[in-house]
Amino acid sequence: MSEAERHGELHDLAVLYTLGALETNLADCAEARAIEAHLHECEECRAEVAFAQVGTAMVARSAAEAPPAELKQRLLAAVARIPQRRKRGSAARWIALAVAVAALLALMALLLRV
Amino acid sequence: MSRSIDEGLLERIASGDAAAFSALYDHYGDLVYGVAHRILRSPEQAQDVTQSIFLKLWSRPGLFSGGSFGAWIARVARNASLDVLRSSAVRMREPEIPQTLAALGDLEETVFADLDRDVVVRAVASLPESERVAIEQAYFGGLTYREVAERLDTPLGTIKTRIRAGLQRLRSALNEAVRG
Ligand SMILES: [Zn+2]
Repeated sequence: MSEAERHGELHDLAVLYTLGALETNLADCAEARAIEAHLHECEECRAEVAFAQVGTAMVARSAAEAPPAELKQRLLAAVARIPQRRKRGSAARWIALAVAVAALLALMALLLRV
Repeated sequence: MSRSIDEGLLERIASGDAAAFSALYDHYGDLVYGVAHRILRSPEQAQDVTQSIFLKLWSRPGLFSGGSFGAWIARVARNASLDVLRSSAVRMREPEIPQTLAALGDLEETVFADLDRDVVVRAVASLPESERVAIEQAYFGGLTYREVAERLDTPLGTIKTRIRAGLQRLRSALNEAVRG
């Protein structure tokens, strides 16, 4: 495929990609991957994405609706119970978990050998 | 601009500030809940999705990696809701926003932060019916443009044209609204 053909094809899809109308699972979507790669090089296709982003934002925003008030109460109560997962603390926990798993595996290996 | 406020909020959330979390919810709860409700049509499921997204943000505010926060969280809400609709487990995807795309995000944030919701609702409602239907079936129905074409028994090329024209109209509506 020539560069011009490629541009023609992707230009046609850039708006759909932005709206999320290609495939839902973008990671598995070959069209989406090709578009992303092409966007780095193509000003014209970026312009397509730019207006489609604004249009898509308008569509999303048009749905905005106040949630029931009790949802906020529930969330804040939950947040008060869930301690923040700080980076350092979380690393320490992972190390502790890894050590525990390694110990368990060693124990199982021992038991299975018997 | 409001974008920097959000970044400040996220930093405060990262340090465990519940008031910042509450403020973030006040800003974006409507958007997340609204998108989820529109997709799922069930207030209970929409609440569940909203709750799971905000709790995930509380424990991992770093999931947001830049660009328009409103656009990002709308996308997260849409994906999570479509997952529920297809009855897979509620989970928060790491939204894959490529750098080029995120960098274009300034005007999107205007839509979420500066525009009156009524203005936006009116802009969408005043689209030609055929354009609005195609766009909403794709966005809220989670359909691909091929599926939209099948549903509406309309040629693919026509659906593409309608979606593009409608989004372009909405883009112009933003200009008019900002100019006031
Ligand atoms: Zn191009």
